[in-house]
Amino acid sequence: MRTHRAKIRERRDRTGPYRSLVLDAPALAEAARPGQFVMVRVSETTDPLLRRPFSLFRADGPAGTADILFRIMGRGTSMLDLLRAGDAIDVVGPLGRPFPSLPGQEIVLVGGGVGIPPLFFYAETLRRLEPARTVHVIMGGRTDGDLVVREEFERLGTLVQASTDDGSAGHAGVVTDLLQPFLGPARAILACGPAPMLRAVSEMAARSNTPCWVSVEERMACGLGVCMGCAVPVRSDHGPSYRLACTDGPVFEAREVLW
Amino acid sequence: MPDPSKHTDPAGPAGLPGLAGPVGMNVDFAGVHLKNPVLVASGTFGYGSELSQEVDLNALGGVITKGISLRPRPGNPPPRIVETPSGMLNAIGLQNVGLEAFLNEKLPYLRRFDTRVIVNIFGESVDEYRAVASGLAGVAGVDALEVNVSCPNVKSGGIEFGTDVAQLKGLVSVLKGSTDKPLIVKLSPNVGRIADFARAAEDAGADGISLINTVIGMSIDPRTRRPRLANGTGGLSGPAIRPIAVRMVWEAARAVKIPVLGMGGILTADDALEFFLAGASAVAVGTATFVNPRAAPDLVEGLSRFVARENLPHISRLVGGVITGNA
Repeated sequence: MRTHRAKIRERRDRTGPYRSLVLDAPALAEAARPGQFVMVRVSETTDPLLRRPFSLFRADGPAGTADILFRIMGRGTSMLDLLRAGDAIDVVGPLGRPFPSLPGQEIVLVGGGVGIPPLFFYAETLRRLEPARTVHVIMGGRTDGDLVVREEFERLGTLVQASTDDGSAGHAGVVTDLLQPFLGPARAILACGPAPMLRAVSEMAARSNTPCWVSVEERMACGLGVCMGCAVPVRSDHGPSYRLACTDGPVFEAREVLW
Repeated sequence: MPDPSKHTDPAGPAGLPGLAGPVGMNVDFAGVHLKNPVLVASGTFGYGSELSQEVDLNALGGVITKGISLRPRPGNPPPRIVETPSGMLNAIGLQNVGLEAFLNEKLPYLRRFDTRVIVNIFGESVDEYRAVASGLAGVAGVDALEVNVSCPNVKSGGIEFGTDVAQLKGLVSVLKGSTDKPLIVKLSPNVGRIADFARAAEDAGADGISLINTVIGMSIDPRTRRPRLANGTGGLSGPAIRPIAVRMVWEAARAVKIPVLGMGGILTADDALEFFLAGASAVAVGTATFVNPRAAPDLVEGLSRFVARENLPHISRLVGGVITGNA
């Protein structure tokens, strides 16, 4: 069963317009893998009607908690921002295919804005399982507030580099400016962020034979593979076709996606 | 008033609740025996296996599959959906695995359950419709066909059949001769007089009609000045269209003797009851499943509770029971 009535255990203001929620959802926490997402109902009424997808930011099986981290962007996230500890929300998940586990490889996580939280889940999980593994993080955003959970990444012992469009923190520019030294078949890239960023990362990975997976974002109604709304153009044996971000993804091998 | 003879009431006039399940919920729809009058609408429940963790298919009256064409179709480019007030627009473009993969890979799963399987079919031409219908003729585990003449999102999604009375009649007549399965014709709401289309389907031999499919709509992003859907227009579904659907079911049910499957924005038992009272013999849950994966089984429970609470011998007693005019 993937439907949960989850009580909010904790709500936290993060940098800028970012917020995080700790949800009491033992079955979700137990099953969740990095890269998977949940569909959250932000209203009990019919407007807004649809659930909102959020990638999982953390999950702690023993504690029975799963966390999401979101940016206040529109009506749905504004309504979610009104909730407080003790309130309950309706959550479906975990959904979708997680990031691959990639044993033995040096990992390069590349994230932008709200694409950063699922990469943190990956890094934190990997730290627990293999404390010695080298994990690089390249995060970017428009401004310093978008470099969400940067300190948490540093506390994990990952090697963090950052870029901002406006130069307010880290390198003034984009994440791909920082990616060049990490390319090559000895490392693997996992990326999540806006489509132009994913496309640029995928192209650099392809040119350098760097294994690369991307977590894509597409509008979806159900998250369960039945509405077929979240089509992602991909290469296939019979030419271009579509796969679904919700059940075939959201994680795809970068070379598979047609940008 | 609908002709009461078309609605089987297995409990009989005396009403013996308890004989046919917990309360009288079973219905005979277009020659298909349904354990309860709740189905899941085409295009909102995949091929039946996707929600196996949330829904026991044995609890449903039936499953109407994603629309099946002769060959696989990739569907439309994204964005395919956009949320609207109390609803959503979609332009999926009839993405489906095609007839052969449906028979080999999808149908065997559905056959494992004690529920009715209704296959939604469409084509780009009468010949293609006929080929799909023929391919499903005699196939065990397929209980009926729902003929999609109303997809608004592809050029040849059948909507020309659904918005032209003569073409509709022609198509249904041909299909009637191509299959042994009961035919349910899914009508488009994007017409002026729905009763004409309901009658055309009946005259051509349809065993039942279902309505409504989505209402054509459009949404434009003022900042980019572009339509929010790549397809430009799309089909509106969800609670926003429910009053349109109830009105059209009411008009269609009064025009024909064949049974009506009502749908359009049903979320709750109260919503579904509107459709029964308007003349539907069974209902389908569509967009609600996206919001609540258990919407259909929850509706079965909600309707059962209503029937029990109202001491009705059978749910079919509600069909067409709307009171209009002065009492």
